[in-house]
Amino acid sequence: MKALFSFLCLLLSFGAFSQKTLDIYNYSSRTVTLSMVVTKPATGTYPWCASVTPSVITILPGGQYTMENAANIYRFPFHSPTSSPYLTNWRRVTAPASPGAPAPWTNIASTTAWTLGNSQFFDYVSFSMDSYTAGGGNIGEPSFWVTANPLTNNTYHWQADYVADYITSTLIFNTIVFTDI
Amino acid sequence: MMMSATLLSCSSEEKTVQQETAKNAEFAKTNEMLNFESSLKEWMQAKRENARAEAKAATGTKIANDATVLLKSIGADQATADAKSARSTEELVRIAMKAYSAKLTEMYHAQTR
Repeated sequence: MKALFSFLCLLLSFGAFSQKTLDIYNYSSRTVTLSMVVTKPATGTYPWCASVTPSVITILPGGQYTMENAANIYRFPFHSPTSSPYLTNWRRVTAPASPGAPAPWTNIASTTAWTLGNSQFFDYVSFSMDSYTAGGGNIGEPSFWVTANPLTNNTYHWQADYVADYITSTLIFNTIVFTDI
Repeated sequence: MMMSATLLSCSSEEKTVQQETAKNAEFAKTNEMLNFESSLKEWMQAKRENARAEAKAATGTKIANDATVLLKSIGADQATADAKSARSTEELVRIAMKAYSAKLTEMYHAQTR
């Protein structure tokens, strides 16, 4: 009983933050450009989703970009009304490519993707620094696409850090921070 | 394009200026800001590595302290008040991160006018 009470207190302590959220902070002196936000299922590979429109999200030095939707705390916030810019469309890939045919996918509106969001979790973002004049990469969950965390660039002196705070297995705060080094 | 970074210290104001030869933002970050960034990255690293309880507690204490100091240094009165009622280190850090972003954005726009 005491453990349950403590757990409930912990959940309540996060207040408005109790939901799947993606926060990206640019504390560096460079402009961060996100070219893709990618999600994945809890297990396996499919379906996965990638942001389509707009094709880039610009985060100026000092700026932040947040994806959240408190209307349903268990869904990945594909539909994030307060985000600027608002991601309007996603590519949802449901199976691998077969010989002679590309991987089957559909272009869906964010509001539609959101209804399917319970089973989707943040995977990674693709980004560039100063429009690729200072490099770029992927940052997020460990995978074939994410080579390191933190991702450091010693030529252009920046670093990208990522962490996921698992409140429960389905309530996750994902945070990415860009800094100068 | 090769970038060069020069660190200057001004003892009277204790500010660190990071300069780039390319056309980038030039933040005159204070020690409080740099300490917060450093503690934040250490805290995130401890979480990623699922560090031992002692290490996590140490980074948690450090980031909480540096977050509080940062908020006071940047004059984020509302955020400072919110931080006092934060019920976890994670909540406190999120408050500080948002306030810090707002401050840096203000600094960026001031220098690009």
